[in-house]
Amino acid sequence: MMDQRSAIRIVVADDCGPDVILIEETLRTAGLQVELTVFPDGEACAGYLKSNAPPPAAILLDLNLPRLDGFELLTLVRADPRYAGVPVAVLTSSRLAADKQKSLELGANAFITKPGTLDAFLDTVGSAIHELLGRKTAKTQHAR
Amino acid sequence: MKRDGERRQLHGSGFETRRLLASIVESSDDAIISKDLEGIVTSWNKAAERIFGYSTDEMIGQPIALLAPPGRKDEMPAILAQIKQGHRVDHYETVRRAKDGKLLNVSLTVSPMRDSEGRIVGASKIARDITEQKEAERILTAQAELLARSNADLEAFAYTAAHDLQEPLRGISAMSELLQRRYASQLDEGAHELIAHIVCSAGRMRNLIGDVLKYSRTIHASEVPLTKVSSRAAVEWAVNNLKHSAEESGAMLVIGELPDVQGDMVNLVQLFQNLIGNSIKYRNACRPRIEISAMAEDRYWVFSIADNGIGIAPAYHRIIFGVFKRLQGGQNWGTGIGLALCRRIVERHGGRIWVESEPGQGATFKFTLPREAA
Repeated sequence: MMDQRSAIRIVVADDCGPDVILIEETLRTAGLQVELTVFPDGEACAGYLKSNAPPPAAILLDLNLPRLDGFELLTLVRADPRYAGVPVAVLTSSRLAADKQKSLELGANAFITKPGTLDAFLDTVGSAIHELLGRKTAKTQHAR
Repeated sequence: MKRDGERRQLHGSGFETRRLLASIVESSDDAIISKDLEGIVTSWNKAAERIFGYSTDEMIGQPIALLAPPGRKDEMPAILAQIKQGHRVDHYETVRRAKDGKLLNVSLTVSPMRDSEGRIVGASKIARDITEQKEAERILTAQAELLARSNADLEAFAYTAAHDLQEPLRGISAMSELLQRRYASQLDEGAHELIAHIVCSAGRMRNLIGDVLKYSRTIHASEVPLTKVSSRAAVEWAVNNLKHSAEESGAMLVIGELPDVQGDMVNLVQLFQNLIGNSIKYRNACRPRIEISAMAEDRYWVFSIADNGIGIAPAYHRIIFGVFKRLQGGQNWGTGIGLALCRRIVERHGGRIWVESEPGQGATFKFTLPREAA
């Protein structure tokens, strides 16, 4: 049981250093034992997802990324059957309805606008990650 | 006396009358031409010579079609057809070609001419050279387009800049807060104070950027149609948004009867919130009393937000509505966008805004909104 918990891994594509630190802080505050695999570049993230690495528990995508943007990564993930059961959240500074709609249409499970203050970030992103991981469990159980 | 004399002349002798009319035609600034129903020129005045470059001798007996530039040849039979039916062509703007090949913008008025039995025998034509006027219009339109484009560019720039500035700012404030929390025990008092300054400055910056965004969103919102809304509801909503500072200051609000208007609810809430918020913010030592009312005038509602605060010297009554104009320094005061935003909102609704105030005597902000046509 403990082994399984410590093996939870989330892939993050975000080129903003402070935001990655905030995600780490969120996981720590929420008491989640999660290992982050971070890519500050869309292409590097795509390379990893196309490799034979085991599917992560969840994927967090920023939209504005160098070389390959979040929408392209999302399209790539949703076209790959290996990631069919992996929840994906778009975590972005955008608050545009069009970006949200496009993300959901491309198959994102959640669209989160990065909140402006530390506490709001910890709260919002913390509960979103909880929900994503819960979704994963629920789906997997259902599949079994 | 002289007029009487002239009238007598006109009525008196046919010859005199013709001479007088001929001199009016000759001295006209506009080309006055006559032609028969085949379009053959039968008279040609001095102004026609000057404007089109053809002498009277050259034109009499020639087809008027000589003046039509390529692509406009069809116009003349069409005009003649109108004339034959007894219709008049009024201020028809078109292009004609002068003898030297130069194209002229002209405004034509063509009327049927009848003989003594009332039969239409030809047409009289007055042509006014409007080339310069057209050119001036063209330049004006081009300049207006250029101005509109450069304004739109500027606004888009302000929006993008403000939006993109939010990103690193969010990083600065979140990181300094995190630093403060995580390393609280390892930092001394001086370090905490410096971090507090960073957090505070970042907060101020956030407010500024937020206001710039709100300001430029008002422009983007200008495509949203105005609908019938209750200004009373807008005031109540604004007051609710200000609940905290209103309670803290002990402000007393007196809200009169307020009408329904054509407006954008979000805009109007913002407008009242900024004005009432200012009345609370710029209070003096005594308890703030803010009176909100509306009066019907001829075509407008005049809204008024009157307070008993510190007031504003007349020298500043205009500039306070400019972007980034502030009368108070320091960290706790405004960003200098609030009233600029108010003006923008009011102007978008087809009204105007001003202030009546003296230092120490409170301030009354007034704005107009069009009344619905009954």
